[in-house]
Amino acid sequence: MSLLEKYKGMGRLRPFLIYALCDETFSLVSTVDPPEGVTPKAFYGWISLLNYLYWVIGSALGGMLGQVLSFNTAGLDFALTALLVVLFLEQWKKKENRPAALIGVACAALCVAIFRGDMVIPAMLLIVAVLLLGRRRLCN
Amino acid sequence: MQLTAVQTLIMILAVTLGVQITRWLPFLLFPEHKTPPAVVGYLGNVLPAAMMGFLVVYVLKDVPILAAPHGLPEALAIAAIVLLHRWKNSVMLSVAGGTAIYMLLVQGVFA
Repeated sequence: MSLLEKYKGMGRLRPFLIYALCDETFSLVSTVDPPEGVTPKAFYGWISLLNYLYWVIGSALGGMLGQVLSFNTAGLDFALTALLVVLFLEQWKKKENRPAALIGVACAALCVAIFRGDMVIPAMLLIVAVLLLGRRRLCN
Repeated sequence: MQLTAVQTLIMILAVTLGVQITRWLPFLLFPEHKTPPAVVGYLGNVLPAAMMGFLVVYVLKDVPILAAPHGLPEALAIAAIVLLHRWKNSVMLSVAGGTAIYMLLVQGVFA
């Protein structure tokens, strides 16, 4: 829904952009704007294609080399946390995003406290509910 | 539990179907030439920030706060990311630097 506007006018690229819209691509595309001199079409297209290839190639390599690889990868999975923290900071830069960002953190934290590992669906429902209830105040 | 090849294939197909439906649905419901209702535009505006907040909590939810080292490596690495990002403002550098610091912490300092 956040990308309806951004993915307008993508023409023949649009079906591919939708098909390849993984979490990582969504996070980048919804947060980072195309730099000057780069068309939105090229920007979104390349992010989508590269992320798609990273997924395919990375998964294939992992499946084949996972047994052989022996260097210490402990902590490497923190890359995802780091990416999300950075994207959170990018959202935080815009003052008007801050209430929604805090609502996301608070609702998620509350649902972790109540539902533990099953927090995903309740947290998402709660976030949408709070955002809808606060629409008047958040729009101003 | 050992899965047969057919079971594995069915699982992959089910996951694929679920993923693709959720990706296409908003775009099919609100095609390019039609203006979506205002509430959809509103949610589209506020959801990315809210979701990023949600996702940060989501990836940190299994960090053991009560047991040693009490989430200290995570806290320190995130603090480093915030400083690094304020300083250089580069998404790539902040992610790579934060991950490297975290790996040093869990493999060296808190090992």
